[in-house]
Amino acid sequence: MVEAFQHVFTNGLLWVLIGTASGIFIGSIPGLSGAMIISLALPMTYFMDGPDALLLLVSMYIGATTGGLISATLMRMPGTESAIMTTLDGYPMAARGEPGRALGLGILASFVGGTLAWIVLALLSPPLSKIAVRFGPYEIFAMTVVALSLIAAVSRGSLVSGLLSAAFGALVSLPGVDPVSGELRMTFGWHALDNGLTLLPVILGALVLSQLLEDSGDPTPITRDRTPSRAGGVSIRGRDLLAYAWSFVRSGLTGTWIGILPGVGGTTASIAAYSLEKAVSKHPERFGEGAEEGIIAAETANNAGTVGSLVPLITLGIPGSVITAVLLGAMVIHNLNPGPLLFAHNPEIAYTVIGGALASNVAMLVIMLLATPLLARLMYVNKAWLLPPIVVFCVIGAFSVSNRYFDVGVMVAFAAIGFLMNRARIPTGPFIIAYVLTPMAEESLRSGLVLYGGSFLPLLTRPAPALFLGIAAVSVGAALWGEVRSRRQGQLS
Amino acid sequence: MLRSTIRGREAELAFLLLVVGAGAMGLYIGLTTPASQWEPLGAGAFPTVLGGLTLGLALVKAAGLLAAPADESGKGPGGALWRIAAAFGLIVLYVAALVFQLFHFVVATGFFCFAFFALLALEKRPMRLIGMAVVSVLLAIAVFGIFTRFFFLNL
Repeated sequence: MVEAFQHVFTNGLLWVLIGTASGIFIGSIPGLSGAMIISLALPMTYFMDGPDALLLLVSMYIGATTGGLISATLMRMPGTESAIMTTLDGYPMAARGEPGRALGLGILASFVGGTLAWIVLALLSPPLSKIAVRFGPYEIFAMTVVALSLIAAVSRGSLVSGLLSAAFGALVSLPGVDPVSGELRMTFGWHALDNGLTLLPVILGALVLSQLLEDSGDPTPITRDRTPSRAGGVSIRGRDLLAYAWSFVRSGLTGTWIGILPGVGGTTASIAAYSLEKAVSKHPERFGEGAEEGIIAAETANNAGTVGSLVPLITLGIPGSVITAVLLGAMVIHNLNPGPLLFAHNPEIAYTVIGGALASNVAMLVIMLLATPLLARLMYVNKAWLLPPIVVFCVIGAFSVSNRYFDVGVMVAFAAIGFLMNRARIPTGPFIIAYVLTPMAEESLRSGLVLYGGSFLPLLTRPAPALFLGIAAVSVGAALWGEVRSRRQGQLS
Repeated sequence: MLRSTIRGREAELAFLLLVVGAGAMGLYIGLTTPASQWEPLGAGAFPTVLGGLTLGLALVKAAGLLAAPADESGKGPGGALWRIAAAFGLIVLYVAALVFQLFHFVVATGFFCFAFFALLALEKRPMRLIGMAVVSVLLAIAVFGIFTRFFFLNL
């Protein structure tokens, strides 16, 4: 652990600074997301050591979450999805002439949220990994099922759309060498498919290029007359920490807990924390009018959710969101064996992620305080100047996987599929996560069957798989019940 | 009747066709894969189950589409469709030029960037267009230099 932390705060610090700064840069431009920059950066990390690559990508993740607060506060336009609740109080406060105060509170809240979640990450991960290391194949299979069902149940759109997206993503992961028997499957005699549809081209196409196509429909810059005032005078006050101590703690813990749950993510974390803060407030009528507690709740929770989502990633190898799925892919690419054995076999990697989250959180605070007035200008960038280079980097990124243009073709095909899914209101999150998790689910189920003499019964009789499958059934059942109820209410009204 | 059912739902129907095709393919391949001699589930089990599940979910989704009113479905986010189609066409042409090695990477990338800049900015002023061309060429040269010299890619 000491060695990993030493590396983070010495040689790795440059990657933390680059990652955090570029994440904040992208997050502050409405329409460009953290998933986009992490996917684009992934091919560059081929040439880096595994720990440094993870430091860069984790820092980008944390930076991108925070960058979204600038446009959310100054223009009521969240730079990232998770900053949506910040618009409710950040913008009114900025509009009444206190943009520096609103941004300062948001930055402080982001830092506190990230730090609280980091404490949970550092304390919870080692013991959780000790439990996870005892997991057998059925436990791992049941864990992937619960992750997929939660993601499908809480994703945008209906439950059927989420499940359909996940089933499609799972099917797409199947071509290539069968993970258990080693025989070729679904390749149609096409040798280019022998290694399957590789992760990076699919992610670059379905996440980055599809969004880029959507943006190319309307790349016009935001005009300056929509901003209430300039982002000057950004500062944080130490006394706010004491004055709103309970708001910070409540929102931080809510955000961390929700972040740990697969599929729920920073957006839901900030919605839940905001609602909780409003419910316990003595002045709920101030929420939506520029209340300090509103900004604190939203920003503390979304950063806490971001850091919290690293817990299942490093302890169980389960991605809780699209971005953590990409991080999991990065671990696979760098042969870091993500999963319950990560702490046992590569503890330096796990502690690098933990140390990197802390370092990036501190870097975020410094960069945001120094550069927010400058970053605020990025909102007016004409995307016409950004999109063509992004396409070129996508092409090079897909090509670099194995120096062949077949992967570039795969990326373009998945760009069209991702665009179609966006237009059809089918969430892409379950697709990506199912695509990443299905090989692990298949391998563990089939190994489990071999281990237990062909019996499925241990899935129900062993405590952990039974618990996980129970959670999966309850989450799908609850989502189904919620949909039926909302349809009935719709029919009645 | 059919036209009114389809109107406004083209994207959803196209996606359904895609997943039905993928599901049917998975199911067929799964069912025709020989059973394994040494394990309870063979290589065909997951394609069979996932293919069947996909087809079942697609059926439920299709039934939901038929039952729901067609007003807003499939419109998706805003943005000029012609420009999106043109952008996608440009990307396909760019990739085709690289795959079939019609032009050197720098030439293809320079042309692509200029055309994409021009498409997105809808710029007509000659000086701006010249500026875009210069930026495109410089970008193509810089990207080629960096990725071939430092990352050893065979572009």
